[in-house]
Amino acid sequence: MLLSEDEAKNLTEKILSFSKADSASVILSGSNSGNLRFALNSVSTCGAVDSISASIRSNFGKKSGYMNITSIDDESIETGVRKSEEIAKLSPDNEEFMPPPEKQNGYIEVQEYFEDTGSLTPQYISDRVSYTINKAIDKDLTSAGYFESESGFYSIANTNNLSAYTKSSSARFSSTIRTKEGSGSSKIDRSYADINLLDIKKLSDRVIERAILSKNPQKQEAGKYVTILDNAAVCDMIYNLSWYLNRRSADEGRSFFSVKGKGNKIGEKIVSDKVNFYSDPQSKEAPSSPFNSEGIPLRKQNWITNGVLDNLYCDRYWAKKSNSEFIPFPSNTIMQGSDKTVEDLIASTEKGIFVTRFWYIRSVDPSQILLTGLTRDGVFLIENGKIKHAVNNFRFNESPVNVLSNIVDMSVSEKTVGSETGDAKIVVPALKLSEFNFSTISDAT
Amino acid sequence: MQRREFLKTTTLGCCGTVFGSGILEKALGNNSFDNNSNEEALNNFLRFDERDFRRLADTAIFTAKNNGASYADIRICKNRNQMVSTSEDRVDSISDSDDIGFGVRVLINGTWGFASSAFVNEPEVVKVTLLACEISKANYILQKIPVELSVTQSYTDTYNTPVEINPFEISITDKINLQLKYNKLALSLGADYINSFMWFINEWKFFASSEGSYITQDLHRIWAETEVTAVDKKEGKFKSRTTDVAPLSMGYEYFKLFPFEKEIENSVEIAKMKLKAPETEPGKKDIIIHGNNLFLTIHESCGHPTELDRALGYEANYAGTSFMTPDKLGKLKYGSDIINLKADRTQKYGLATRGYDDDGVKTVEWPIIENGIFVNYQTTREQAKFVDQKDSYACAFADSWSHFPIQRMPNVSLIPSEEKRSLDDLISDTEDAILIVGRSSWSIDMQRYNFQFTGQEFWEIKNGKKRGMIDNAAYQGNTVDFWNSCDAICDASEYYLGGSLFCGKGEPSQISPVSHGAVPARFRQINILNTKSQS
Repeated sequence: MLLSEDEAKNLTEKILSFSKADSASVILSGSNSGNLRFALNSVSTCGAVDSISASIRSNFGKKSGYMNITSIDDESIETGVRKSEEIAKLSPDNEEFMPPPEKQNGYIEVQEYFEDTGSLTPQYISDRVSYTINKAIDKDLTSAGYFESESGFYSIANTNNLSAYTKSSSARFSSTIRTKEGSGSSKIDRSYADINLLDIKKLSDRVIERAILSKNPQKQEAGKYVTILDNAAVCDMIYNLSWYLNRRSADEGRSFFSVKGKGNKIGEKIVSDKVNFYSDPQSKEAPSSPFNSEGIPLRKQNWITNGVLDNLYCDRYWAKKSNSEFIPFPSNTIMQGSDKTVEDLIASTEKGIFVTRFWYIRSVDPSQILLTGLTRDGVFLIENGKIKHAVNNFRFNESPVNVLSNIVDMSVSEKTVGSETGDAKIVVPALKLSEFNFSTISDAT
Repeated sequence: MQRREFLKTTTLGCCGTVFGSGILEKALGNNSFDNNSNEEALNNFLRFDERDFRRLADTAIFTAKNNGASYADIRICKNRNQMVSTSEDRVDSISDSDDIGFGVRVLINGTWGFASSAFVNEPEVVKVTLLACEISKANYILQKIPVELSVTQSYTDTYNTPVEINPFEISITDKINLQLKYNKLALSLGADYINSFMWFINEWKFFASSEGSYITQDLHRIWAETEVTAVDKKEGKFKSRTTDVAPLSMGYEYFKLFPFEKEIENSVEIAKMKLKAPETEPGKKDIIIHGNNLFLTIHESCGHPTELDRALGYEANYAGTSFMTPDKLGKLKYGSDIINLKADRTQKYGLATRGYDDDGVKTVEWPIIENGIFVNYQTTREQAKFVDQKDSYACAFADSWSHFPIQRMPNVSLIPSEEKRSLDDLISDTEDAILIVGRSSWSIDMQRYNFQFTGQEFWEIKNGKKRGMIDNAAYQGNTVDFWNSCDAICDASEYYLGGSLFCGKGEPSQISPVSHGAVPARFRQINILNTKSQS
């Protein structure tokens, strides 16, 4: 259910009016979404969802309780509020308790909602997806893929008169094209707030072309190679890195960003000086929420500038305790790129490996942010500035810190969906690296 | 679920009471049949009982059939989640949630339609069913393989997870006290940081189909875990160890059944030992994998590749495909002769244990790997026919009212050796190896060949004896080579039932709970990595 700002405000006020706690806050959100999945050149599953949910937090002194509900009639609301109060009363004092923030002013303007996205119909979706399926059939390929559109709202209110509202939409299309004999595969995955940016025809043509190119991979030994990571592969690396940018765990000595004996690496040069990494809700490519989950305004925030660590996010409690600046967790992640294309990066490479996507990325050693994972859906050998042929998949053991330290060149930055980044809003370039560590071969194709 | 309990916790409600009647009027506008009972339907949600669920189901099925559906079903669901999380001596958060809604699936001309809503009332059921029909009709043109369902019986039945103590009847205070007691123990033993949680899940669902089934299931799951971290600030090092008690389908008796105190004492000791443990030498090595690590290897390297939907290509765009393609059925020598793996949706405490699946099929057990040979897939009504099977193995599930049921993994477990062999016996019989204990991080490719797993503890075994601890190891292998290199497994006295609540698959992404039983087993000449020297 998509509520307007007034409707959401009325409802959050009503929810808070039931409160008997010292203070309370509520996150009210809802959405309408539709999805369609296809595989083997045929539709497989589909769905439409009309949902709403209210997450109520009640506080007594330094005690808090949370209750989530998905029904919003008066009786359900009152029951939910009482339950959160009951939980709070039974809790012991939390020494790290922070009261709900005061009323905030100056949320920046962000356009996250586009009516064209919000008004999509099942017929529209079916029509668009049919292009991909039919083209795959024409080329004797096997298509699978997914389309999802959603429009929703997110609002926050508390008993200190804070009130925040944002409305957003998204349209996502992804497709994996496999060659019939099973040796070739390529995937595309894009998501935009504005459906008009999602050119399914163009994306489908491109993924089909790359699938054909990925056929019959040749054996390539594991090892360290000059490597170009396409945007989607960089996206997963950056996403994983972003979870470690936490000031508290650094200060506590349990993070890559800890400094032996005391403190953290803020102010130190940690990666190549080509790296500029920040968050900005007003990003044109990836507009994102102008406030955090407590309703506190989000603005442009630098994380890494010219390779130097500017900041780590820091919650209100830790900021107070460590006498440092409160840095809220961001709503998007952006790495600055150049004006080159990924084709330019390939053209400038004498010999190297081109990785289109990663898969199944997991932490191996958090103290060095060492990750393992695999390549997927197209790996290529570059020779003399051209893609020579497809090669086998690899497992890697690498750290995003190494990746960002080994940058030779980069492409233009684009809104990208990684293999494991879900609906996180990330804008990254493709990167050319002086080396990347492929540890073993994978037989998967 | 008792009716009174449902009333106490339910938040079933009517959107009309908040926003005026606009939404409902719209819904009613689509309604082609008599609405005399609206008044009652709109006001009595909090007093829903079996008859009301049946009435809503009959409405959905009637509407679907009227619009051309050859098959239709409805699931009305209420998922409750309660979580208590603490760090050191403080409570981080206590949360409770009720997620209520329904989904209607229709099959028209061999094409599915599905729609769902959080607003459980009769006009909304009609509206959502009509939307499901609209979606089916819009997608008909994309249906190159018409859907045909295998035949099943119809059932009127209930299934409840056997629970001795309902966790939702235990007070929050008791739960907090228990957890803080564990944390205090860890602190007193010298842990620097402790993160603990307790998680209680109740999944209630009512299923009805146009084939005449009315099935109510009340499922419980429980999980508690404590991670302790030891920090050596001087050296700039930190190491963690997590308790090994897995999530299970059971009640609060979980805390009586498992020795949490001992687990925590062990975790602190191990975390401190890891700070000083020497590095692992990389290379080919024999390894003994404990059941509390091997269960996850089973999940990734046997559970996933024998999912029929993956093998056919239905997950190609996300979770991946499988090297275990249908042409290998009955032929592939998956493992050595001593490897037997069975699928079971009826196993006691198993997270994937149910009475029926979301296709309305009664659950069963069946072999997957027999004497090392790949003999069976996991199937649903829609896909069983693709491997020439008449009946489904009841593996269609959705994790929420808002999601379409897809093929999900049953409990897949390694059958222990009938020969008497304890872990100590196996160690005594081993000359030079590494013993791997506890699950940590894992990763495997999208066709399930190449995997790499770490663990919580690594021990050197020399001449039949467990020697000192080593650190920073991972084992990496290829599925078929790996399982064929297994030359000894322990007996049932070492059985460990591990599991995960987060098996991920599908788009939109769905999670699924699943358990895996395992015993310690020995594998010859496996690739061992040192994770420190890898980057």
